[in-house]
Amino acid sequence: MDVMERLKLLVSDVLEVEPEAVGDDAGRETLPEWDSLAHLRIVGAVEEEFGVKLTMQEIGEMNSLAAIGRLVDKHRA
Amino acid sequence: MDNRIDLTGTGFAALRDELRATDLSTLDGPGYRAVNRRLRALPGPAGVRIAFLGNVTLDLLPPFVAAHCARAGWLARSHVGGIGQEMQDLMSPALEEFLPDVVVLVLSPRLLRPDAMAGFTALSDEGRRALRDDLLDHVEQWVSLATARTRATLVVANFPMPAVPALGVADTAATYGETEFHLELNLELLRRMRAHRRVQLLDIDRIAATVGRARAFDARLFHLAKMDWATPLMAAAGEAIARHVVAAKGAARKCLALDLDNTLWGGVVGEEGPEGVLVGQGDGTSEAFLAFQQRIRTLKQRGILLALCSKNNPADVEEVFARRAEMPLRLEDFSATAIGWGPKHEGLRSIAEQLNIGVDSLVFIDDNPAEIALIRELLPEVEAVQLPDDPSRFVATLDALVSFEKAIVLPDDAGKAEQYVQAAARNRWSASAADFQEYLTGLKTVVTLRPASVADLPRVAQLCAKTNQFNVSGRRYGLGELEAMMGSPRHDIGCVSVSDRFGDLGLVGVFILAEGEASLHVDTVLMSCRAMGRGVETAMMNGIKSRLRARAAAALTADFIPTAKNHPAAGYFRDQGLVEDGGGEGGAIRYAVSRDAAQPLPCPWLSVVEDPAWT
Repeated sequence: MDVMERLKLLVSDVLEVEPEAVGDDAGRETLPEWDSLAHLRIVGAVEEEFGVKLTMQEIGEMNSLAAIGRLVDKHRA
Repeated sequence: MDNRIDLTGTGFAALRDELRATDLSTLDGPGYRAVNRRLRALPGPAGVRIAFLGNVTLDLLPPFVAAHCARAGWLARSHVGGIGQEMQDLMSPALEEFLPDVVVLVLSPRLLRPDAMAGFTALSDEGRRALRDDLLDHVEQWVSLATARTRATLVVANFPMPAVPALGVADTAATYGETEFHLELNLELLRRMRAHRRVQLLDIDRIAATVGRARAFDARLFHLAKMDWATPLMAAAGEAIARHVVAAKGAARKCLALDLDNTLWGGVVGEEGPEGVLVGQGDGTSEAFLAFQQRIRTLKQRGILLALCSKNNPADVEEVFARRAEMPLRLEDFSATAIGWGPKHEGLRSIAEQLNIGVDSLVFIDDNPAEIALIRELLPEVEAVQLPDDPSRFVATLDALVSFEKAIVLPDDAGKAEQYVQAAARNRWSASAADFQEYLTGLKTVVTLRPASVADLPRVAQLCAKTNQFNVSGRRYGLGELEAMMGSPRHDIGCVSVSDRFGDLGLVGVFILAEGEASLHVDTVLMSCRAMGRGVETAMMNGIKSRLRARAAAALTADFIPTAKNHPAAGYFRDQGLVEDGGGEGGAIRYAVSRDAAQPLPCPWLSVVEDPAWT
């Protein structure tokens, strides 16, 4: 499974929304469940799932699935 | 161990049993999320209501606590206060409505006194001591307010030592450096909190050290979100808080039943012989079994009964205990035994019967996975614990159990096993007594009735939590509620102590009376099962009737509230001369008797001592 598919499943699991509700363009803007506490949960889940350690600045910037996908690719490159 | 969580099972008991077979330290994020989704979907009332207050972000902690509580048998519901609102939250209607059983307090000194903590190295010794007292005073002020505003057990976290002091190695050479400051801060906190009976200290400093300070804290999340504890620390704190819940609820299991071969000693006695089994000084394996036996002995001092459940020839077992004097555990340490060739679920049932406790009060430890699987299948109420292969890990396996946690070890606890041995002597003697009346008279039982004092309340709370059979209401009062009743002139809390020619049974019975406008109401009558069957309950009701006269109430009323286990008390009020009057709400059966008709019943085989202040 590619990174984006895994991220969709992860975000839907953390936010407890249907997987279909998490599209390619999903982010803090499109998902009302993605509040600041959910953001902390997503950070922990992404780090565990992909075995990466994000910087404080990256945590502040990862506001969409696409942005998280780019960060994961960068850390795993 | 298997760390997959089956999502097909429904109901709390199914989830609890799955968790019991799971090592939660191996559970990953998706696993925790799945457990919590199932817990939240469960209907029914919470077993424990936990509020989390403090000056850091605690919102991500409750799921970890809930998973560990579920494993320990408690469905937890939580409430998280606002950041830095720990005082205001205590005054809030939201917390009052939530009605917590447990309130956890977590404070970060860095956020509580930011300037002083950041400028610590610039402070004089005097300034540092003042800072220490200032922090402690803040905690104590919170404790006083929380004690007044809630009836909850208060679980107060101490302060984690910083990973590296600002002055480096020179810190301990300086007078009152960071190290000394933090050691004394936590030591003073421990001492101050010990003076508050309703407070338990959450030793998060020790837990952080166990997790590893580098993994326990996350500077990114602290700066971004005032979240001090990283996931590994929250997971470990979840287990620790579940321990405090078991202690606060007085829900410790009562008995540890143990296998023998490859559990208490290495090897099989039937093959190696009593001299051949491994335990004692000499080689590593023998010393590991010795250390395990020593650790088990400390449980006995905690008031946990020990029992043996083993497939062996009884004569072989007796020979090991007789010939291996280096073993710290002696045969007399075990209050009940089931040694033979029958299946172990029957052995455990027999042990529960011998001790007159429920099988749900048992923990069973065995090295054989087949035996553990059998017990989990046939007696799921028993907590069955699989030993690891390596005996050097046995002590850690025992220490990982949360089921034996108590808020305080009372003087009564160390003598508990002796009391059960006395009970066995009584039973033997009872068989030889020609007539039961003669037996009762020969016991020379002395019953003492007196009002509860503040010092009795921990034991009273323990009895409320643990007494299932002879308990007319099943009400579980915690310390806070008992304190409130002691302070109320409308309430009487009566304590009943029993001794006989075989020894002292201690405080075994409690009654709670509430005076209303028309009558004196019996709110609670309960008695430990070890005092049952000798008429102590009659002496107790006679004491209640004399309170009725002393308070000059017109009538006595009482409710029997049936529970799953209290049928031994079902006929109590009727037997004591009260009459069912058709009242009672929500399944309760109401009894009443007028003051004139409430005459004491004779119990000539007892010597009853009533506190003169009460008659």
